[in-house]
Amino acid sequence: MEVKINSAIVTDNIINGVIGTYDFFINNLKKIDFDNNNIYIDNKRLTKEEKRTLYKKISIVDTNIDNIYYSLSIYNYMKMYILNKTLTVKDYRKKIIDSLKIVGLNNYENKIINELSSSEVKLVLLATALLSNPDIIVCNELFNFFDIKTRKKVIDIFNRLIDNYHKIIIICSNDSEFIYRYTKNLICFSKNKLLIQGDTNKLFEGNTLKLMNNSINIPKTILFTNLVRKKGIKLNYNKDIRDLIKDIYKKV
Amino acid sequence: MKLIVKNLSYKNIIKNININFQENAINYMSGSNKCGKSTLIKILSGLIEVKESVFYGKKDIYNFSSYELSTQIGKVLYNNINNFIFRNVKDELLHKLDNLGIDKKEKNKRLKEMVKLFELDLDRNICELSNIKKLTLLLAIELLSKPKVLFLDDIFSDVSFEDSKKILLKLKSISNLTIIYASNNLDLATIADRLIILNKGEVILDDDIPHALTKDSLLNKAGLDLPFMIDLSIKLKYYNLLDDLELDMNRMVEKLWK
Repeated sequence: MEVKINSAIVTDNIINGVIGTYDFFINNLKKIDFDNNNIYIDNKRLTKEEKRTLYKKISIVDTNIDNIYYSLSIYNYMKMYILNKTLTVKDYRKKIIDSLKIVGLNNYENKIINELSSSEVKLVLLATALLSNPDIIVCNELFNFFDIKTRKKVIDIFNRLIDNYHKIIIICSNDSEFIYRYTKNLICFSKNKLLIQGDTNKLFEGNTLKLMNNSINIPKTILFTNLVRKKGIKLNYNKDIRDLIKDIYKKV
Repeated sequence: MKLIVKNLSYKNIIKNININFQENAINYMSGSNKCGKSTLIKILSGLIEVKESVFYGKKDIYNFSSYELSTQIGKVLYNNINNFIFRNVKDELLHKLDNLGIDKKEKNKRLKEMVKLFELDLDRNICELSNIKKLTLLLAIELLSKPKVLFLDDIFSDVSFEDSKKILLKLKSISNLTIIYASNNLDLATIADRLIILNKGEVILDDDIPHALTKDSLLNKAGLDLPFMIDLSIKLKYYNLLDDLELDMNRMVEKLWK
């Protein structure tokens, strides 16, 4: 499935990345601006009613839990989300426990949010976003507090959601190294407008100057490779530093 | 002010830790998720009370008055970003100054210092500020009391590398300030003076930078990626392609392809 939101295209078979000044893109997906969006699914323009149906299938994993909820237990916080979103749930506890299990937080439902580490708070936000069984999951700077192991774990969860349930995963982040490594389709925004979109590798590797001129960070492996290429040496673009070293070794 | 941690244990999270933090320097504390960084910051800043393990100079933190805790020890934690009471920047800063018990002249002096250091716009509505502006405001509020030690727990996670670097360098320029910065990555470690690595509640590395950053296998074992140029330098040294650490990309390329 291919979804076109205004001009940005996302698909359900790969992880989509969003980089740059993307706040308005996230706001567009929130209810407040939703009716004004031009949305197409597989090239078919959605009516106002269809857009409202789609809106209910979008979950945005926000950046943090509001401080006023920090004294709640995870169970109470997630139950409150179910009630606020008027989700149809038969067994709250089972639904919450299942959602927490997906993100690896087994037996966490009775813990107080205040006692959690920063990475656990983010995982709770992800588990909460999964409660509505969304078709589109939008993560706003979700990975910033995760170490390498947790990042890989969450990416594995996303890949499973894509392969088994055809979910559309959109990762919004300004960590270009992470976006370059883990996303396949990239949408770049600058000054509240779509700057460029396409295959992540080609986009980063072929538009370095354009991206830099729009204050988008370039992964360091690409910057390094570009510097070497300027000297006339044909170094390949590598995401993994070990592959880069092997290539340097051959070319020095 | 010298901060010393002696035989500190807490529940099953912190296990018999001893650290001699470097005074008036940036102490960079890192480790994977759930290694105990945030708990340690809470203990060291007095948010979690522990007896006879944390000493500022010779004084046990347990014996600090609440005034001493709030004026000598500054802290900005990852979830503080929306912890504001007032609508505009000036009111928020004045509120802190009013609680310090200092005269008007000193208040104005400190306010001007912070405005200059962080380029604050006093008339701005806090709700309209970007995350980075909110963060600099939080730091300014903490620094108004002229703390001797400033704790920063994962505060740059939503801020770009360049902006984070700029802020950390500004903080480093403040005299008589010991900074303890906790993060789950080593991106900003080259700016710091000392590196402390925690793993499952234990200190596995406590050394000066850049020497500490050369211990790549230990850092990788703790679930950490080295900053790109350090990692590249170490690996190129291993292959005898480079003699020493090189942090500048242009110079490294020149050295490799003379």
